[in-house]
Amino acid sequence: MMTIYIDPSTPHFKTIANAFQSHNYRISSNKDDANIYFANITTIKDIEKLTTTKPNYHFICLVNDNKLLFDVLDLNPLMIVRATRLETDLEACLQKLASFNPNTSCILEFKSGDALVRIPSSNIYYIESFLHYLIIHTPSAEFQVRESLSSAYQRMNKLGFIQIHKSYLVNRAFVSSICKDACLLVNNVSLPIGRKYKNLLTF
Amino acid sequence: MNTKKIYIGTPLKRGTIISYGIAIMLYSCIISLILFLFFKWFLRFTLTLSLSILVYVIIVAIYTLMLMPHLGDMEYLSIDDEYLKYYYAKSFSIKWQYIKAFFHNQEPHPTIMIPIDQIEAVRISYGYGLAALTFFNHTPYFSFLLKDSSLCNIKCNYVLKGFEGYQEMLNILEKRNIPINDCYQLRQYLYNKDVFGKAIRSLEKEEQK
Repeated sequence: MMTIYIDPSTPHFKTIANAFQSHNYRISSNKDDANIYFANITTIKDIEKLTTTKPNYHFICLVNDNKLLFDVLDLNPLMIVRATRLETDLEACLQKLASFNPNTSCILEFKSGDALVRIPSSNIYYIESFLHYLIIHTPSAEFQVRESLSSAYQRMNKLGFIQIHKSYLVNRAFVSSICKDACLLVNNVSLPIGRKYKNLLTF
Repeated sequence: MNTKKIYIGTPLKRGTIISYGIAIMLYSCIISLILFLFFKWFLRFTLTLSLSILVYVIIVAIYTLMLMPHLGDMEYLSIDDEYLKYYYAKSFSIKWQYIKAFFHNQEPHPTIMIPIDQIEAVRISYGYGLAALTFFNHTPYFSFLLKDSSLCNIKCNYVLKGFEGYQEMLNILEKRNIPINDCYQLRQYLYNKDVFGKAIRSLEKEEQK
C-alpha cells in the first residue's frame, strides 16, 4: 500500500487528503513513513530546499504559480498538479498512481534529432523499432530517437519492459490482455507477438 | 477553430525536388563528358556508344543517390490545430524517405509529434547553434512541458533560414490557453535572427555586470 505525505502548508489540504484516501492510499503525517511526497510549491525557494535535502521520495508537486512549472522539473516529479486546475489535475494524478510502481519508475532521457526528450519511464506505453530508430509511444506524444532496440531493452529491462517481438518493447503496466498472437494495450493498440518471444512471456 | 498549418523552416516541394533533380542530371552530364574526354584523349581508351551510355547512366544514378538527400531543409517544425510536429532527418536513409514523401506531396513521419491539447506549458530560452563554417549563432530553444510531466526541449537550429512562423506558433499556443514562460523576454525579438542575436548579446552583457 502506498503512503503519501502531504505538506501541511498545502492549500485545500482536506480535499486532497480525502481524494487520496478515497482511492485507498494511506496519508501519513510523518515524512519518513511515506514513499510519495505531495509538495506545495509557492516559490523557487521551496524547490531549492527540496532539491538540496535530496529526500528519497517520489514527488507530486502542487504548483501555485505557472512560472514555476519548468523549475519544478528539477525534482523529477511524478505528476504536477496546478492549483488553478486542482480537481482535474488531481483526478489525472490518481489515475496515474493506479498504474505506478515505485520500484520501476525513473526518468529517461533521449536525443530526438536536435531535441532532448525527458520521459518518465512509467509513461511509456510501448517502443517500436523503425529502421535505425525507435519510436516511443506515450499518452502525450510520439518521439523518434536514434537507438537500437537491444540497447533500449538493456536499459529498460529492469523498469518493467518486455520484448514481445523483434520490433516491439512493451511496458507491462499497460498490457490489458494477451491473445494467441497479439498483445492488447490499455489504449486499444494491438501489437503482434513474435514466435520467438511467445514462450518468454510471463505476466 | 481552423488554423492554417504554420511551418518554421521550409519543407521541400515537388517542384523544387524536380528542379534539383534536373540540376544534378546536368551536373553529372558535364562530369561524364569530362570523364569521356579524359578517357578518350589522355588514356586513348574509347568506349562504344552503348557502354558510354551505360557509364553515363551509372554516374547519374550515383550522383542522384548521393546528392539529392543533402539538398533542402530536412529540419523544420509545423503546427496546426491538432499537432505540433518536429521533423529532423540526418541519416541518409531517413533523408531519402523525406525526399520520397515530399515528392508524393505527403508528410514524412515526424521525429516528434505532440497533440496540442497535451501541452501543459511552453518555455522560450536560448542557446548556441552552429552557423556557417565554424561560427556560432544564437538559437532559440522551445521547451514543451507535457501533461504527463514529460519534457521536450527543441533546439531550433535553423535560424539562418529565417524566423518566420515563431510568432504565429506562439499565438496558436496562446489561443489554446497554454501558458508561455518567457523568462528572458525573448518573444518580442523572435522575428529576425539579427535582432534576436543582438538582444541575447545585450542580455548576456547585463548578466555579466
